[in-house]
Amino acid sequence: MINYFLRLLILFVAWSGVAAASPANIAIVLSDDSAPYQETANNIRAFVEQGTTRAVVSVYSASGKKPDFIRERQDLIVAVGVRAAQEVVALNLTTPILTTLIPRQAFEKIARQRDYRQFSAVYLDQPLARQMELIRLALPERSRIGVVLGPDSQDTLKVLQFAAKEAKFGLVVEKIGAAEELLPALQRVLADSDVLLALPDPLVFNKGTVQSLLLTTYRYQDPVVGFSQAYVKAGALAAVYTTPEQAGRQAGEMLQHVLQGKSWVLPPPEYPKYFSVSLNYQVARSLSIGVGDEMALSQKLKRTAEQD
Amino acid sequence: MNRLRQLARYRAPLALILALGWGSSAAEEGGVLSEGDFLAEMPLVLTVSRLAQPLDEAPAAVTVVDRQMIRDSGAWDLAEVFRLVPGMYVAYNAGQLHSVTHVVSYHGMADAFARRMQVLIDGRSVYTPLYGGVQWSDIPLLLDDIERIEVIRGPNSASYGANSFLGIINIITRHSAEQQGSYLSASGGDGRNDGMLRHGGTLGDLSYRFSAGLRNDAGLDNRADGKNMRQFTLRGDYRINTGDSLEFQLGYNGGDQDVGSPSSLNANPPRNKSVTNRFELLHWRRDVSADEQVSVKFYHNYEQASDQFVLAVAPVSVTNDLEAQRYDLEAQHVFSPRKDLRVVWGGGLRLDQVNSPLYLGTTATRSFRLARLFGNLEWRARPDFLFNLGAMAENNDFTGTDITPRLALNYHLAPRHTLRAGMSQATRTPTLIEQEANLRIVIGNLISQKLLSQGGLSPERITSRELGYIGELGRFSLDARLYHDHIDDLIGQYEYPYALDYKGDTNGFRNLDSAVVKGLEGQLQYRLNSSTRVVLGFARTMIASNDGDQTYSRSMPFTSLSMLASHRFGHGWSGSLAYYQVGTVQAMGEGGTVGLSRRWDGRVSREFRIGANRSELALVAQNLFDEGYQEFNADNLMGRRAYVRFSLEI
Repeated sequence: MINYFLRLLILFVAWSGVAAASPANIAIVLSDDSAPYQETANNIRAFVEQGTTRAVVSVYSASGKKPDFIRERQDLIVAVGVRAAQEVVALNLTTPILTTLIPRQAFEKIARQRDYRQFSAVYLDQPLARQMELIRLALPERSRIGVVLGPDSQDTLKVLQFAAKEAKFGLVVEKIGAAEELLPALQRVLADSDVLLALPDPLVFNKGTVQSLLLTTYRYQDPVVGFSQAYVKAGALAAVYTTPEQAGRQAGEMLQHVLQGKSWVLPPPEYPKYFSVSLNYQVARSLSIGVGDEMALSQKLKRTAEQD
Repeated sequence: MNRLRQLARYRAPLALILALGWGSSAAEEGGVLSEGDFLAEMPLVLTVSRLAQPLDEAPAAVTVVDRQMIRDSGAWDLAEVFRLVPGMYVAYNAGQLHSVTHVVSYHGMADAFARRMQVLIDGRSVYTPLYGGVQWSDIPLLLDDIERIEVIRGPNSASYGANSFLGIINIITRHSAEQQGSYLSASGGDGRNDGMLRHGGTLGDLSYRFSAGLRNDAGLDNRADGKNMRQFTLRGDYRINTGDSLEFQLGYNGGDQDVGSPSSLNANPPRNKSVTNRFELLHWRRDVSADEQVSVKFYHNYEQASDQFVLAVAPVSVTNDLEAQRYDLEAQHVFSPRKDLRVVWGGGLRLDQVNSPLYLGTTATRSFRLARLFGNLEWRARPDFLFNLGAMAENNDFTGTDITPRLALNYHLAPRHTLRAGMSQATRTPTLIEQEANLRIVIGNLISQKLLSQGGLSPERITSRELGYIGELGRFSLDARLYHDHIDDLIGQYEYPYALDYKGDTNGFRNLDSAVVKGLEGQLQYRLNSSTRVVLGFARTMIASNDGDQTYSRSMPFTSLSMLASHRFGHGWSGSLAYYQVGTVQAMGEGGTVGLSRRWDGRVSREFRIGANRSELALVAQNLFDEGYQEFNADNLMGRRAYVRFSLEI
């Protein structure tokens, strides 16, 4: 019994110590050791360490077989990537968790009814309005957006319809449930639209489909506005996306803010504040589209984002 | 410190739990959206080699015939499609000795063996090494496999290689990833029927398609020109990694063909011959980045024909067997050293082998070797100024080394209005027949020496100058050009002044004539909306030559017109109407004088569903009003021919 009280006492002392004088312990858990996660972690650490509140940041990888794990109590855990988020959530801790480098849908699946003050995110995907603004800026003559939705993206339909209406775009949508439905659905969409907006869905956009998808859009002379830089390299006309460094920066800034506060309470999930625009000039040229300059486009988009 | 750690061990079991739980759920992630979808590398798909250059930035006049136009035109044979290209002379010829079924030539100068154009299918040169022309009905290629055809009107050997003399036909087939699932079609009517089956699929990183078809054509009523052909083509595209890909193709087209002249009882009796054509192609590509690419291509063409007949005038059996092969290796590197520069350079080696005892007078296989280096620099001096500077150096067995340059400037006067000025040179190397012909028929103790080449020919040379305009105004777009081509050292047949033949008419080949081809031509398109389009082609061609008998100057109609109007009516109905008008022309060689011809072709189709499958029924009538006109020579009397086609996607 005494032993028990002693432990409680020690725990209490330790707790108050963290909150008061000793530095906060922040664990960053990465989905794996590869470059994007490291880059995110480096920026989170850099921004946290720039802050006025002292914090100890430790980085762990979820992929290591024999991880040398923390011996310190954590005040906050940052999960970088879906896998890290799943692993950390599976531990059923009471520690607040900030996830980053995570698509909104994946986050929502994990979050379910969780309180954002304990479980929040910096999303990796861009708000639809921003993507539509990119289409408006880069392709002012195109007015009908085509979208193919798969099982993972179907619940965005309502949001999509709303965003298109707000941005005064026509919208042509096809839903697919299986891989073999993709090309016929795509052809129907392309016949009625003049730009294809790619929304992340593993059934629609993956390494295996990119080839037939881009070749088909090219045959219809419809440009693709994608969600990743790799897609632009592969042959999409343009994309607005957030790099791991940018995601890390936003998460770092969010943590700074939390650290300055009195309690470990997270703000609601945020879409990316920082983003880049990438253009494929070869494709633009072949489709006879004058897209302008990447930097200029990116600046314009940022101005619009700041106005919102 | 030690103590703190001990304490920590009690209160922070997080890491230990983490360690236990680690990795357990990771495997279940497959197919679920994750950051990987945003961050993963992607294979490079639309790279410089696959992207078409916009027409207003191409260094030459280019006419594009897309899938839709091929379909709407109602063409039965590939060659018919080229009637839509301004300045192209297309004529059906029932053929005599070598069964040429269509004559396709840009700016005339065409006999039955029209040999002054480069014809490429996915970069594979298909003109036959013996006489330099194309056996259009023998190419292993199904119309439905074609993605688009780019016809470069004018010489451009810097970009398209040997024989790119008067023009280039560049046929691009569909990528296998785009043709998935199964498709079948069957057609028939007026002595023609065909059936084809296609299937495309994927196996991991490999996509493939194969097509097989049967084609039977009874030909013209009064001619021995029937054909029964079998075709098979296979294309595979293997994605090695994000940057490397390997394309492989093979194809076969073979069968029986009627040849000979029913009207003559002499040297060329009607008979049946068998032909076999096949090819294999390997093409490795590395996309280093969106604008840098290295590729190596190797292909092999094989053509064989067996033709035996007995002369009607004497009991002499003649064998006209042919075996010809082409091995070709080419490497190419495309890159952008600066933002305003793009460079394409490369080199190639070719070996042509021909065995034609009848034409070459030897049972030995004759060879022709060619090596070439080429380069093109595209420099965007200003946003509105684009220079193209190219050259090819070629060395071959027959004519040694030649360097041919080209230069073009595209000036965008205003958005959607472009002027183009260009100058280019090209050569045409003599063909094996021109260089080494030795056609001799021995009848008893009489020697009939029909052809005998002395060799030592120089290549034909062309210097082409042009001024072009490409523009869009509302729903209209216009591509027009004025050109002036000077051609020297044209190789023609001449009669030996001394008797080698017992009848006295032995022909040889010489660099005889020069000619100036000039004119105005273009294409006007009207696109009302996505369902209505009208394409008009027009050409005025004048050929002036020093040839006494006007062989060249009359070999191209002064005026030719084409029109293709298509419309989708809705409810699955579509219709199209084509019109072709060709002025009086005196075709060379076997050809003759044929008067002005007017012809209408029409097509009506209806798409419908059979269960979940898309299908289409189409009716095509060629020469709708049954105008009994002639093509190429008076023997080819063209009547109306119609067919019905049913197709089904599974």
